[in-house]
Amino acid sequence: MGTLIDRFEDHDGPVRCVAFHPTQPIFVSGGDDYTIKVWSTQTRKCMFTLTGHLDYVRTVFFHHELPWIISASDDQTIRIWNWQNRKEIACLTGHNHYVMCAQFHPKQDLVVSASLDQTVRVWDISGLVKKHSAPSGASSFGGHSSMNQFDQYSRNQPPQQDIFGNTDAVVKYVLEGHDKGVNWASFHPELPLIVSGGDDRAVKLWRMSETRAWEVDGCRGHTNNVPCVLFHPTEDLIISVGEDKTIRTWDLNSRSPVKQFKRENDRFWMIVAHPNINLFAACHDSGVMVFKLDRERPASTQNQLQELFYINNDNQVQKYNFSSKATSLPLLSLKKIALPWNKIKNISYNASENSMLIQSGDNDTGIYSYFNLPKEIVGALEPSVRGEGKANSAYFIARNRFVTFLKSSHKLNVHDLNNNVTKAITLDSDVKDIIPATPGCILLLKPTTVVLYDVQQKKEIGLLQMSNAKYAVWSNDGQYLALLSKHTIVIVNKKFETVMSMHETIRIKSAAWDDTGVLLYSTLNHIKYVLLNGDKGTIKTLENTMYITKVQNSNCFCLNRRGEVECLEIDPTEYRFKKALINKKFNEVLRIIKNSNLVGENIIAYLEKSGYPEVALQFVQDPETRFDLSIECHDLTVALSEAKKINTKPIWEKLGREALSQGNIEIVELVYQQLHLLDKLSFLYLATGDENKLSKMADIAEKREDIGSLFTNSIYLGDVERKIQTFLHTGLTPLAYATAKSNGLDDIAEKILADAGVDLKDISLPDQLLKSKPSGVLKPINKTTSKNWPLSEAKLSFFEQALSGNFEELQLEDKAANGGSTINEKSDMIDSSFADDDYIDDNLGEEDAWDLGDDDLDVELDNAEEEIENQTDTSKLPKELKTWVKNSKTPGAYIAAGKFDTAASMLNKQAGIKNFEPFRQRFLEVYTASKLNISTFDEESSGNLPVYISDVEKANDGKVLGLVPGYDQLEELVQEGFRLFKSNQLESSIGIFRKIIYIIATLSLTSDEEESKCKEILDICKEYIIGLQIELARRALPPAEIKRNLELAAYFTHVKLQPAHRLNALQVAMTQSFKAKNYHYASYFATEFLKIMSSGNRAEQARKIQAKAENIATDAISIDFDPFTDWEICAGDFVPIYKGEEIIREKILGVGYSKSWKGKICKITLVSEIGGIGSGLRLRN
Amino acid sequence: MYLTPEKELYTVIQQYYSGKYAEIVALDLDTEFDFSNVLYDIEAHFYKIRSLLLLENYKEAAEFLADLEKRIVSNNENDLIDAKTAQVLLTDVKVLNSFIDFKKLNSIDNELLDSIDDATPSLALVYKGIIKSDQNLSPSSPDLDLESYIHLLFANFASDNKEIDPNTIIGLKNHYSDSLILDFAIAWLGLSAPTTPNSDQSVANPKNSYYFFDELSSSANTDSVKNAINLLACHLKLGNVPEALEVTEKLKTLSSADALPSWNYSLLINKIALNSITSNTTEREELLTQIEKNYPASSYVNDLKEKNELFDSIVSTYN
Repeated sequence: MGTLIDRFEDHDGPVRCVAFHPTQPIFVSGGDDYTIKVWSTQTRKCMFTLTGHLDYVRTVFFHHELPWIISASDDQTIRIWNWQNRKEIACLTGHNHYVMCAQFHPKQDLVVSASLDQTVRVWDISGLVKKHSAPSGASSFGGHSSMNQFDQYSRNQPPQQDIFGNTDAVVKYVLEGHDKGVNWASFHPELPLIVSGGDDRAVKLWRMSETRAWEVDGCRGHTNNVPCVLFHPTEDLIISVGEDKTIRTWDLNSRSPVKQFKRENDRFWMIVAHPNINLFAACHDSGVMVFKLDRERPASTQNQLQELFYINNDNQVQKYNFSSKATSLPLLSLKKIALPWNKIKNISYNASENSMLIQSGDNDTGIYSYFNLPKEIVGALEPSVRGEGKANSAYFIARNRFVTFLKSSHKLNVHDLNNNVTKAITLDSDVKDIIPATPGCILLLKPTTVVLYDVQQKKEIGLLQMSNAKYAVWSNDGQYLALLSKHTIVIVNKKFETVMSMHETIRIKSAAWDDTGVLLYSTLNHIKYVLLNGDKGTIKTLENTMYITKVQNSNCFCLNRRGEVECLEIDPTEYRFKKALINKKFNEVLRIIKNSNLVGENIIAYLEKSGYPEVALQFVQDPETRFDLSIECHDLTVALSEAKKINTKPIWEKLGREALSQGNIEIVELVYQQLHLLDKLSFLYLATGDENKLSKMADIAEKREDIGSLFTNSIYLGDVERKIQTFLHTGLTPLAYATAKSNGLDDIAEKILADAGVDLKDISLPDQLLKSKPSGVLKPINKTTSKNWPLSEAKLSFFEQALSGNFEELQLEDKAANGGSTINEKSDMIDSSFADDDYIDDNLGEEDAWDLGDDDLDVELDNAEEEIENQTDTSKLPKELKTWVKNSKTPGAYIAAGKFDTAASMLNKQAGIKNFEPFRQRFLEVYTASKLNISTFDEESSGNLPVYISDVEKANDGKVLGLVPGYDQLEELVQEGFRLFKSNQLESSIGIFRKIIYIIATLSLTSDEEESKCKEILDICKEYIIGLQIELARRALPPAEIKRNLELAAYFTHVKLQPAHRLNALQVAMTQSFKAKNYHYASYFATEFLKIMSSGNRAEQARKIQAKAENIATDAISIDFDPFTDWEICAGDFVPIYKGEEIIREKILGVGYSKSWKGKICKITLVSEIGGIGSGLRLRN
Repeated sequence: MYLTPEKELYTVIQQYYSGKYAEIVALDLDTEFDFSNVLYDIEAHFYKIRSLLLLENYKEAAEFLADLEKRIVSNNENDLIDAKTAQVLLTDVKVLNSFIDFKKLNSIDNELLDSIDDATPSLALVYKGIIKSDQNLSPSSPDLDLESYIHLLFANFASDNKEIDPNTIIGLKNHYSDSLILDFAIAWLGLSAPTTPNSDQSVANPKNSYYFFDELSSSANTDSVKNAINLLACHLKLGNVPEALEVTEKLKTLSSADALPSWNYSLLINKIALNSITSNTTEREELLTQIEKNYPASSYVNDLKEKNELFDSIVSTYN
């Protein structure tokens, strides 16, 4: 858009005017070099120059039919040129100042000109036309096809003459009325009207009759010169531009101003209308702006009954039924309530009231109206307005309320159906517009973001980074939302998380979801689709811009710019095919392949790219493409047959590599033979143990006198004699002798000596060589493989089987349901090929299987849960709780559903929990958190209804479960634990950390993130409870137990506390050690202390202790504490368990104990059995 | 009977179902209101009498009933009400009188109650259902008296412990689009109907209930303890904990003198849930003690007792 095509630089000086020919590939320009140039848009060169004007050329225009150009110049003349014979055919004189503009009438033989002499003149050029036309009336260029009877009649009249007897072109009317120079004058395309603009800041409208012309009215408003003005090509509007930096539109009938647009700094100079499209271009001091006067998108909305309400171009409400494809009569006429000259921007329909809201107009002129639709359609009635006001957007958000938004005040008003404002919300100043979202919610469109906003709660409930979003379309099932900007589509899910984002070069105009969840969108000239994974493609090319409203099977319902519904036939095969592939619905894919003629390079490239070369193979005939695809899908049979057809070296090489990687010896051999790769062949025979063929290779080498190859083959064969012969043949007699000797072939050795004439005494061979036994040549291990490599044959893919017609063995649904066939096939393959392999330990028992990854564990757990679920009696539960039980997978979820026994059983199995009493409060908390109650009819003694709170997030994901509270409190509780620690309330702190453990053990989480956070917190709890218990134990010691005191103080420093808290532990250990004259330890603790805190009073004290202790560096009391070795504290006895000693653990936190504690309840958690069996807590539902 | 209510009656009904009984009782329906139809006038008087009954002011209720009876008779005589309608209304009056006897003396007028047509919804049938709570009264059609029909539907639900399918109520909306009682019923069901993955697509969903009660609570005419308790339930159901806390604060400021025990029961349960969600154990314990003390035979307290017993058995099983 707006791309520079070329530059045309032949004019000498400024160019003042340019005009394109309406049909020919040429354009004309005029400039300050007094010349007019005609250019070819094909060669991009100036074809010729027309000279004659004696001053600047102000305007040039082509005649709509004749091969003529009209030009206006500062030389006070208007000239008409024939661009075919490149001659001036008329010079119209009469203006006595610069002629600023001259134009042909679009139909009649008239010219209008405007001059700084303050006049507008209308010229009759019928004489000229007659003179330059063939007598029959046909011109040399085209013909007067549009000439009517009146024209014929007037042509037959004697031509008018001017005072000089000139009959070619005579002034018909001189229009005087402007007080200053006139800059522009234009004819109306249909009516006998002229509009002019001048330096008197006025726009004037003139009417002509056959005999006279007169000023009708003026449009006043411009505050500076009006350089250009024209009639709107189709509407009753005048459009003018001014040096006052404005573009203004005026109502042709009332001459009153309609709209105005102002640029900050640039004066406007000219405006022109596109001949066919609703576009205008206006030039100003810094460039050109192309614009529309109003939107062309017909406002529309749908109801639930397969019906579309829309506003036609006569501002009437109409209804279209998608099922019957029938358009109703107009329901209502909105001419009186919509703003004149403003297209209705949006409409909103309220099904419960059968009422409608419309909005039209921008900025402060924007209005909304609210009215009922008639029950019966009897024609365009006038609506009776129930409410109206100022707004830039208005939508229903619930059956009994609607919102309006006024941009200038940033106010979002919520109205009841009586149009009373029940709530006024001030939105952020950068909100540009609003569009409706889910009931009760709207989308706030900001320059760089889109916000999902709950109007009632005044809450932002979703935020998306997206620039200049304009439209939003919800998928039919409400799961996805497509947001459209000019060039971008972003698809988000219900949680407002981005699913897909794409850029489109051509402007995006509209979108709708089809029934299967594919988004179809229209650009200026295409209908395209995009899938949720971002795959996209073109469905149809459009001649005119369309706005998609609904897609149903192969029907795409669009609104066109004429305000009519069109049903376009589309072919959904391609996107359905892709969607089925992505979703692994292979039976659907197969169906489409079989029933449609889906071909084309795009789809093949897509299939190859998406990893389905075997499907692509079905669509291709070209051998090279087939070869590439067969290699992609490892189909050697097809590849070989195509390679034979193509028969080029690179193809054979590629086939060889693939065959080798698959272990297909036959094909590898064939390829090597084909390519004469003898060395590789030899090595292949060696590797496969084919001695016969190796021997043949040696013969071939011998015949070819390829000594190197012969030698290699001799080695491969272990043929010592041939090796010796090779040495001899190449003159390497000593090597031949040494080889014979070392292989015990003494006869041959002697013969060699004799032949060489060397005496045995002259030869000394290393003893080792003579002593060693001939090693022989290693034979290939696998000698049986005359066939291909002993791998299990790769199974055919689903498609390969299906496409080869083997349907019997295919279980379409099962495989698709298992999430595709590949994984199963792979595992089958491994099982069968390695079943007898030594690598597999046959003794791998079931217990060892617990050590497999988490996935396996999950499988086991699921089974266990299924058992639990099967055992769970839900018959007495209310329906909601039954659903909760059904969906529960965590103890927390079961507790919420009231299945305490099931939850307890799970906790026992997962974490070895045996002591449940500490969980009592937590069970009650979880259970009561989701139980509410409301009063209904008060007369009833039992008029109260129970209400259950299900987890909102999980319900959005399709899992209805009871709310399990606690996750949100965790951080606060950890801080509370820390606070109590700091304030030396150690027992309370332990109580808090234990409470956290009980909460986490009974949570029901949604995400990995939450789960890993909980695990981190559990680690904190473990370390703190152990540490605090050690410290409490130390404090409880009698003064005499100094050694134990020192040990416990030391152990306290060993647990993983927050640095600030560890300081406390280190300080205790440091001072206790120092007091007990354990200076070495005191020094260690002081050093650790200073690593965390290096300044301040406490650090000073540590530094002093460190200095003093380092001088002495001895310990008075020996304690069992070695900070430099690997050990763990036994949480029962608080003694170190060193590496190598047996550690028994409990299952919630993994707290370690020495062996003697096995079977007891953990002192840290107070609930879990030490050494109990458990699969680990399941926190995610 | 079902009447398309005019604004005056609309206000009374709105207040009635918002639980503003004392306000309704204080209304002087004869001077402050100008009903366009005599049936509206009678209907409004019935609401006033029912408010008195709910406030257990039986004496005054009996007086009003006597007045109302005279009014019905005279209107009938003056041809302002047809004989059939008058008969229905008079039966309603009789049953309300018998309800007063039932409350005060625990006496049941079986003859009268048995004479009431069980297939036709009426105010009389509603009170018959209350007096004879063991009877399952379910008129087949809402025609003639939508309010009573819905009332009986809810009563059956409460006694059978079955869920009402919200669609049966929503479906009625097509015929009775401007019925207030339907709006209330849909809002109640929006909260209590079981959640499904698609329940937000239904008209009866918690969000719409929230809008409904929020709107009532923000208008002085309908801002009441009962609506606030329902609003609290909405916030909790929607996970809006801070807003729920705000409502509990607001509830402290609302006059609770006329609060019905059933509301306090709901409020206690909802506050327990709130304190469970916020892990406020101390407060929850206090509230649990209160509910056990004040509503010892309630289903909620019984359920908790069962759960505690279940927990005891778990403790002993695994120990």
